[in-house]
Amino acid sequence: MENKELRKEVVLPNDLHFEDYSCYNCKYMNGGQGSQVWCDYYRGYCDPCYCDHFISKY
Amino acid sequence: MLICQHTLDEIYKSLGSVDNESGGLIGSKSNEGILDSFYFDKGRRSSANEYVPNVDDLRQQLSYWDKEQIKFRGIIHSHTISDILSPKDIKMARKILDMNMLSSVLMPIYLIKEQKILWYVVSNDCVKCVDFKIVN
Repeated sequence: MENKELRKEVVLPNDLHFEDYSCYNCKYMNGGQGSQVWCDYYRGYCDPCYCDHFISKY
Repeated sequence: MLICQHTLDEIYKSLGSVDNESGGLIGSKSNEGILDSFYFDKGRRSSANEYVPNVDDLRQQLSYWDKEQIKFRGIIHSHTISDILSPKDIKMARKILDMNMLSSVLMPIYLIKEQKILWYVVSNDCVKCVDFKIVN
C-alpha cells in the first residue's frame, strides 16, 4: 500500500459505519440509498420482498 | 498480499465467533508489509446488516500501534449475506483515505456463513479484490 501520509497517527471518522444492505430474500443490494426499494418497516428485506411476504402471510 | 498465519487465525476466531457483523483493525509491523497485527472490535452497535465500530476503542488501539510502530493497513468487517462491499462501505473507506492522505486501504470482508475472507483494496478510483499468501 503506497502511503502519502503527512501525519503519523491514523485518524478515523467519527461517523465510521458499515452497512450491508442486502435483502435476506433476493439479495438485492441498495446500500441504503433510498426508501423506495428498502423497507423501513422490516429491516433486512427490500420493499418488494417484504410486500410479497406480507401479502402471502396476511 | 502477505499475511501471517497467526493473524489470519485470530481474524477467523474473532469474527467467526459473532453472528452479527463485527470487525477490526489490520496492521503491519514488518518492513515487508506483511499483515501481522489485528485488533478485534465487536462494535458499538451491530446487527446482521450493520457494524458501527467502537471508534474510541479503535483510536486508542491506533495510538498504541503508532507507539509500537505498527502501521495501519485497513479495516476488516463481516457480512452475513453479500460478498461485495456496499456503497456505504466504499464511502467510508474513501473517507479514511481522504482524512489520512492514503492512496489505498485494505477493506476485507469476512463472510460469516462461508467462513471466508475476501481481500478488497479500496483506492479513490477503484475497488479490487486481491489474492493473499500465508506466511509463518
